[in-house]
Amino acid sequence: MIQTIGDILRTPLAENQSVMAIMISYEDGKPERPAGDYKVTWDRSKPEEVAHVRKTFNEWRANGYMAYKVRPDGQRAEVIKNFDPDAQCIIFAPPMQGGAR
Amino acid sequence: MHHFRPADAGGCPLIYNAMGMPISKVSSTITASDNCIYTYATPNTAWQIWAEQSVKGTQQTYTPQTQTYTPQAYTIHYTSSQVDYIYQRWVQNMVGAIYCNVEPVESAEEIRARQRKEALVRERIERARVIRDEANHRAEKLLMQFLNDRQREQFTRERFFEVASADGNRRYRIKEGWAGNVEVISPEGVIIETLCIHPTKEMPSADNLLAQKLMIETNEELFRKTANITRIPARRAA
Repeated sequence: MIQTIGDILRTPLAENQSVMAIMISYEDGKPERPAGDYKVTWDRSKPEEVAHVRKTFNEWRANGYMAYKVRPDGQRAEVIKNFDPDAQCIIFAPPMQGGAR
Repeated sequence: MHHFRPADAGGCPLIYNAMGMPISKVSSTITASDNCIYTYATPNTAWQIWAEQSVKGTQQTYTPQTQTYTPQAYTIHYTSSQVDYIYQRWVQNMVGAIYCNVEPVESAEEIRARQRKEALVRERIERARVIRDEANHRAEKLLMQFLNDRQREQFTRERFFEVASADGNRRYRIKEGWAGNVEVISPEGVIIETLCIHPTKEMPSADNLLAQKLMIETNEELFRKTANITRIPARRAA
């Protein structure tokens, strides 16, 4: 499992920093938000950053994305419906559909 | 004596004079300079008739495709009295529907313009490929960070990894891919179900795998309700 939350980013996160990784489709990819996964970080001690990420969180939830709170200690992920500013890592997965039999 | 050869695209034969210039009138109903909608169902037949009627025609190579001819470089010589008949028979044998874009020979300027356009298209395709490759790379990196050591090793070696449901009752095998890539494995190691579930929009395969993994681990019931499940009969599974 994840050894440190910093593994997710190329550069280690600061003590109060958290990260949200959003899976972006090819269709929705943009230069500033490329397809694959797009990461947003915030400082848990800075209300303005928390507010900004909360807004992003709600937007992606409204898009039908599923939010998972992932812990760096290897525990199982947990589905969250509301933004948790204290989460260290959140992964946004796209809405899913059944395919052909 | 004229030269008779197929158009560069669309399959409609054009007639050229000895200087290589197109002759505009080739039939009473359709002219070579029109952008026409032709119909045909049996291009081979149409082509054969056309070729057979070119009495003095040299042997040509023809690559049949669904709706277009692939012209080869050749020249057929024929007598001028045969022109209308050959062309009419060729047209008469068209029976389905294609757009046949009949164009005259390009001028030097037109060639340059076409080449510029083709270069732009090539550049755009290449740029899209690079973006896609980068996206795939980022997604795979993210996936690997959320696999445990065993899963990571399994995925690197076999291009699949296994996940247990939260209650431990089912073992899922998630294979690299997009659709129908999830299997349920029995305690005996036999595939008993295949599940088809994927994101609503196209994205890197690794993102799909991670989304499937997270959903199995956190909400197996919804995962199974969303997926199309094919149960493998015990006889086949064994």
